[in-house]
Amino acid sequence: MRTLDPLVKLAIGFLYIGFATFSEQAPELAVLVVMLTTILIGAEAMPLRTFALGLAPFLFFAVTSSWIYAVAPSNVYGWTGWQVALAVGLRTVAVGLVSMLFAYSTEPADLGRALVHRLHFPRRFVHGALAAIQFLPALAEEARMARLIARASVPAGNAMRRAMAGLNPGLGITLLAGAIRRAGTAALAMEMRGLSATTRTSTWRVPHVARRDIVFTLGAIAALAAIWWVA
Amino acid sequence: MASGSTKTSAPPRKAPPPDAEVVLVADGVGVRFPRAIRDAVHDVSLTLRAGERVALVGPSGSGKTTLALALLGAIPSLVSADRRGDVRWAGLGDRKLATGTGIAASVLQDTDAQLVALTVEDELAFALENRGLLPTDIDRRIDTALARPPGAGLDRRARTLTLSGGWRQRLALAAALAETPAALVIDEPVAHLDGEAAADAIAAVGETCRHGAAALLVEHRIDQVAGLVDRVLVLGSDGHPVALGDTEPTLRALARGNDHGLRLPPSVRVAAALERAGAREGTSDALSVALEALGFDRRPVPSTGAPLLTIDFAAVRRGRRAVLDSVDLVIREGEAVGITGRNGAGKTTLALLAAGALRPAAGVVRRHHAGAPIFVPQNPALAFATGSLAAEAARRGLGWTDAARAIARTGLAPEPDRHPLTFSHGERRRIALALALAPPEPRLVILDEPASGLDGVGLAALDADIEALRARGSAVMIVAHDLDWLARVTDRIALIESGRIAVDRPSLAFLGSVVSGHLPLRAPPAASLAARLGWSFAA
Repeated sequence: MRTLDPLVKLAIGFLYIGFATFSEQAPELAVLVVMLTTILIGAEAMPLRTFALGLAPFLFFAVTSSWIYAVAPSNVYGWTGWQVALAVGLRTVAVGLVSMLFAYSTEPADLGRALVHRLHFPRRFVHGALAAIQFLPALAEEARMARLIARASVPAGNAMRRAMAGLNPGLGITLLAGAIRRAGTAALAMEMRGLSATTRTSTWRVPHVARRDIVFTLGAIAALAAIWWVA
Repeated sequence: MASGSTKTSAPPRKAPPPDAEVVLVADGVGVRFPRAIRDAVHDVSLTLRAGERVALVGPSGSGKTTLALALLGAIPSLVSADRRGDVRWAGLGDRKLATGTGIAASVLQDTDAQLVALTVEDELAFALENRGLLPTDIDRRIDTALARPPGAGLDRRARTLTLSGGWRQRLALAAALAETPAALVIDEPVAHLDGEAAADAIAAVGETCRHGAAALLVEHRIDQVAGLVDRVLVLGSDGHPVALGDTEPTLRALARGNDHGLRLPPSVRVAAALERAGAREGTSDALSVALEALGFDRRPVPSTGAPLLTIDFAAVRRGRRAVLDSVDLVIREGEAVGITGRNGAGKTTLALLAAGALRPAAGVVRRHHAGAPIFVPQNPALAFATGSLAAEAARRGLGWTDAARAIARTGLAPEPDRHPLTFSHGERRRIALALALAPPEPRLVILDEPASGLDGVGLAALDADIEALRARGSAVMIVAHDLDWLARVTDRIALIESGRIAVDRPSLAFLGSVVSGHLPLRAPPAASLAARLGWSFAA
């Protein structure tokens, strides 16, 4: 799926999310979850650890948003509370899996170029977002370093104080100040490298719809229709 | 010893012809920031010709970066400030910004924040896409950039996030060179690079200039780029130009009189010292004078103090990757030990392990002292976790009176309620070091790249601080790339390769091994010069 056009994938992703959102049948959603999991792990070779880490927040939301239906059932559709809870939970997981599949199989820069050149999104917005993606791990690394240094400043043998030193709110201000400075420098660097140039930008690596995208679209729609019909 | 023989190992210069095309004319340029009571720079005039290489140097805070931004047009078009005088770039027309147009390309001081794309090829293509180049041309330029230094060794599809600081700086330089601009303006081109990578980067800039590009290199370390540049423009601490001329005579004149806090090249320092001493070349007196000028006159005495740090067969892992493996190291009271190695070899991880910030996955780390070690990171802002100097002192177990005395010795005002982040980058490092110096008892002090970004005055102050720490019995671990400096201030130097300590020798013996080619590091200029003068590194 990595070679597919990102905007086609985005459109199909929205279609699947729409289907999962409006589907009320747990079996439909279960088949969708199984299919997406198979594609992610089988076809896209996503490592199991990455899969588990990526799915974890959606599983959390699935559990926390569905349990109330099980313990306090409503008789609107004549279903049991557990049936409703299962549908709500599966819906959350299905939406998460669609998002994971899109993120895992899409190069952010390709999506950015497609958004700028084909959907005419503002370049500053798209490149700013890409730069921000880059900053998050750097910020996380800086936070890790700051925590480690803060812990090291507490004498050994005082485990509680060492742990608390790494959670000092002052570190947040240090990191925030660094992030603001870094964002300012990045904005300056992007402008100095012609981000706001009035010349027509290059069409280098702008993704285009190809025959494989049409095949993918037809296959994805057929799969959805099959799930709806079978389940 | 002829003065001409005292050259650094930088590539040979070839000045552009006097009739070369003028790329930039700056006349009477001055900059004042909003609400500032004085100009950041003033009265700067400069002409840059095709193929010419000019170093813009000066002490910290002299306005070098400000001047570079003003020349490029970023001040005032992107950064709010009042720019006076006249700046004319050939071919710029009525556009305000010289960069992003193919006329000039720049690399900012903070290359970490300069990288904006997620892959190497996207980073190289960013400015080229903005200029609207043909896709085939962009691909060709990317291939070229990755085939030669400083881009050689980078993988086209590699994630920029996974690159070490040195590789990120190489990528930023490669991206600027890929623009094939008429002029390059690079702020501290080799600040985060090890010796080999720095030499590659300098050579790449030189190669670009041989093809007709002009280069303005902003550096506080003229010794790093002196071999490359044709002329130097020196800014004084008040932002006023104090010298502009051909490299060698200008630097020699500075060495004879006021060096304005610059870190002058070893050859220049030695020549001036010989001239001052009136020493006859080739004599033992001349060698002594030269060694003193190079800072190699101190013969370290092996410490017999008790160990303050013992690392025994330690390993550190990050995920499944072994960052350090089978590391043995002992640092004693009053001893200073240098840790060096290529970018990404594991130096900072060793420093964090020694500081107790990381736990070893195997082996043992013992700190033989009740007090917590003091770690001054490369980014000194990370050394502060509270909102005031008084709280920082308390966090380190210091009374405010002792802390204030130590801070005052740095020349900074000891204001207990002042937030540490309101100080400049250099000031934060000085405060962090001052707080390290404040405890009366010996401590383990770990400094990660402490000399990075320091001018000559700052470096002298750092040398004095390290000596003071040693004198009171503290053990000092210093992570650095600059071998000349490390050999001056440490007793031993350990080389880290692929997470292991490959060599641990007395500093001068280590330096001798590097110069003789027995260690896989680039020979630093002062040590190379000392070797050419006939000095034996054996203790």
